[in-house]
Amino acid sequence: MAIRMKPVDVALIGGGLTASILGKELAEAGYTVVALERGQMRQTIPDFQSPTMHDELKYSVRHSLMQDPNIQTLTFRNFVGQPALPLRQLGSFLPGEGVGGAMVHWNGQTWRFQPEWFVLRSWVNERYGSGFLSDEVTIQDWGITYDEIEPYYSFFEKICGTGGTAGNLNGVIQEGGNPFEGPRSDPYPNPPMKQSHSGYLFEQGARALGYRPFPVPSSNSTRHYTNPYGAELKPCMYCGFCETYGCEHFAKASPQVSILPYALANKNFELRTRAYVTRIDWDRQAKVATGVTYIDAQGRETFQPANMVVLCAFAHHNPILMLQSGIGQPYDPATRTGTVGRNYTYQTMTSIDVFYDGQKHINPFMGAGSLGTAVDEFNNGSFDHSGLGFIGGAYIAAYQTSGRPIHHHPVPDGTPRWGLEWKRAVAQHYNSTVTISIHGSSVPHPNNYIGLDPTYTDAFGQPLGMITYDFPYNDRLMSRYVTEKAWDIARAMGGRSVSVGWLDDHYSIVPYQTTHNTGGAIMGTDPTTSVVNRYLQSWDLHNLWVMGSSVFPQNAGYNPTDTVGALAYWAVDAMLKQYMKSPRSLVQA
Amino acid sequence: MPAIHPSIAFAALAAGLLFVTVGQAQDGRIQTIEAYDVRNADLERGRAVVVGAYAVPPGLDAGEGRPPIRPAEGACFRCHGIDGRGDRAAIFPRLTDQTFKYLYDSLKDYASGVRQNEIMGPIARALTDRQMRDVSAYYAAQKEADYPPPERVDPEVLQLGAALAAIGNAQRGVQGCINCHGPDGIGLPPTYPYLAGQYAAYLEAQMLAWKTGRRKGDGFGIMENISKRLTDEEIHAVSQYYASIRPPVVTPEIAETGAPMTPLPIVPVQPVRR
Repeated sequence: MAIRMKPVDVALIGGGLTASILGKELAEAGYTVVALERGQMRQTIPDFQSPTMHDELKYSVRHSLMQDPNIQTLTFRNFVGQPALPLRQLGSFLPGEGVGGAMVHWNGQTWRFQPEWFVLRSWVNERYGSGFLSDEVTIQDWGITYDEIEPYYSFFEKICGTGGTAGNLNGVIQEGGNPFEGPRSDPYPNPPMKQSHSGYLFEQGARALGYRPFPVPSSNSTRHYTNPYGAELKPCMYCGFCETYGCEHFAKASPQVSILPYALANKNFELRTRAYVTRIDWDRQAKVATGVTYIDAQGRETFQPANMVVLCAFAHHNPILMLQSGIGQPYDPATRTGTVGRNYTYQTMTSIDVFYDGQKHINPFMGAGSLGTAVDEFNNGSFDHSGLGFIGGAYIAAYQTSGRPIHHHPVPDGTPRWGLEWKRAVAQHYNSTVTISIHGSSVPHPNNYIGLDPTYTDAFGQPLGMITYDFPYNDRLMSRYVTEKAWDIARAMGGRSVSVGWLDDHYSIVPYQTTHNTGGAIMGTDPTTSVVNRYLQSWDLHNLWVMGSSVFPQNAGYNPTDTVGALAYWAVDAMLKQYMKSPRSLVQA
Repeated sequence: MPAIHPSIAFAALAAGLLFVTVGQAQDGRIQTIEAYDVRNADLERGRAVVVGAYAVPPGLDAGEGRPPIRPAEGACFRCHGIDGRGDRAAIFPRLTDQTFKYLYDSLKDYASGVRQNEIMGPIARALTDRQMRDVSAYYAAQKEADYPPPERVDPEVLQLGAALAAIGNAQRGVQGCINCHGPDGIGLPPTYPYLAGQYAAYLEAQMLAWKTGRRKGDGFGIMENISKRLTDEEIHAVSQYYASIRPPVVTPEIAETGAPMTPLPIVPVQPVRR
């Protein structure tokens, strides 16, 4: 018999970015809120302080801030028909575990999506004709427009204290910013980061080809800054320990620093850690969620009744929990029907190394997660796809995130993988190599989806989530095209040699690529092809809402966090202004 | 062989790593770095300034067409000692083995008024830029100066200071000193000065100067912000803590042979002839 907790107005599944936003805003509006976080409490002080935080083995190799695959993991296969096998160590992506979630160990790169991404299907049909893409490219409109979400982008960037140079202020293109971005209502709240030498070299190469480079928008704070909640961020020290680490300086925007203290200060809000949610309970007749069942820190099954449930877990966990709870129609790749798990997308990453053979002093250890210089000439809305046969695009950036000793040792093609020659090459190239990232979009494909594994179970006996994914043909064409453009920049940077990491194999879940998993519980305008409506409200249970990148119908050629934050504010606004007083479906199907 | 002072490694590394903070400032361009390259400073001329000699050693001019400084103004050793030990009782800081860049920046800040001090201000303004570099290189190259016996301090004060050093103060949003000043206050050359063994009264005076706006000039306003968040009791405690500890001895070979991946060939700091 499960323990039964005192009912609350809202149960949030997760304790990361979106749960912090909802917790703060809903508690402030007078609703009782409990956030159920499977991991532990952790704070800037003492958990993220040096020198223990600067432990590459512990955090980057052993993933101490991430999900523990011994309790729950995923199975993976490339294609329908292959046997899926469990992921026993994290690899391609790193879901967070513990308070703050993945926004503790993110890099702080804070990109908005171009306006075209939100209406991608309509935009492609209008611009290139409805026959431009094959049926296999199941892109969709989001049900919202950039103009609708813009104020929420703007607010979230103020919460994060994002630094950058605006490229488009109210439709007027600004010198030094990204001219291809959507119009901003406000400039960035903070100035951009000081640029690195690698960024300078990239900028020179890009300018030589006529491109317009700009500093990457960064939520590694660039000065003392107080956000709208009153949280005080401090300047980044460029220590080079952002991604996979917590920030010791209060410099990187995270729930702990920017949002959560203002939720925790409200007695309506409770953060309950070590609460491992196993299902959403719901009433089959009334079609409403009734609460959440979780396993508490002592291993006891516990039921938390709630008038409203919000999925705030990591991207693929949200649809997996819906599948485990029997909510909605699971996507079936054979018939291409069903919605939950549909349109799972990722990010199409390639990279290029430019080697200066000791002729430059890059000093990669002087880094920050979003210390970079980028060009956006080849993102989706920036160029003409006519005759290219694909949709999507990528930004191209030279990041200087770290020179950490275990992972940072770029060597040219043909270098032995170990031994004396390898060591010599590392010594020669460590400090004189610039890496260029091509951060590509990801379109959905009928083969790529999230389901439940028929064989493997987690520590609680529930079926594991199963990801079926390979890079779609569309994205391979896109990646080839943009990587060639980046190669031109690389060769214009004056290095001695260039190594290109083409996308030329199946997707592998083993090497780290990026933690930008998207889709599976997507938003849209049609209940037969989406899980939530434009307000992120479930089509099936009106009091179940889904946050996070789970709702992206396809992934853009940008990092997702800015859009995740903006959508959360968009959704909470709809809750407070439209839903809470009169709970119902806000969009009639 | 005397115990190797730990910062030898860092002093040598500093020469190579000066590019880090200086060369790539602001817009990523490699800027003029000669001024920050310790190899372009001269220890013997620095020694002349320290001892208050009228002129620099034979064959060298003072540079920049400026008259040599007068001994009464410039005799650093009168307060800081010939080996940089300073004077605890008189609140003259220890300079021995401090990083070249930090000392040079400090002199420039005194000269410009960013750091206000009635003794150091006039002295720094009397020095040429070259003399500032020379004297900074001189003290950066000093490796040995005895520490005075530790002061008697309430252990609870030391414990509070140690906690602040390690993890800061969560309530007031102060990060631990260790994040920038390194474990055991060893410093993080070339930018962040060592704190271990620095005199408590000096450390306390500096933090109070930041707190009251009499000292600025750390680029981002970090120390000003931190000092304003701390109570005077906490400033006292953390100052006493750092004064009470000594930098650990590190393996000297790192400095002498050069780590395999240092960015530049290591050029040893010119030794002091005795």
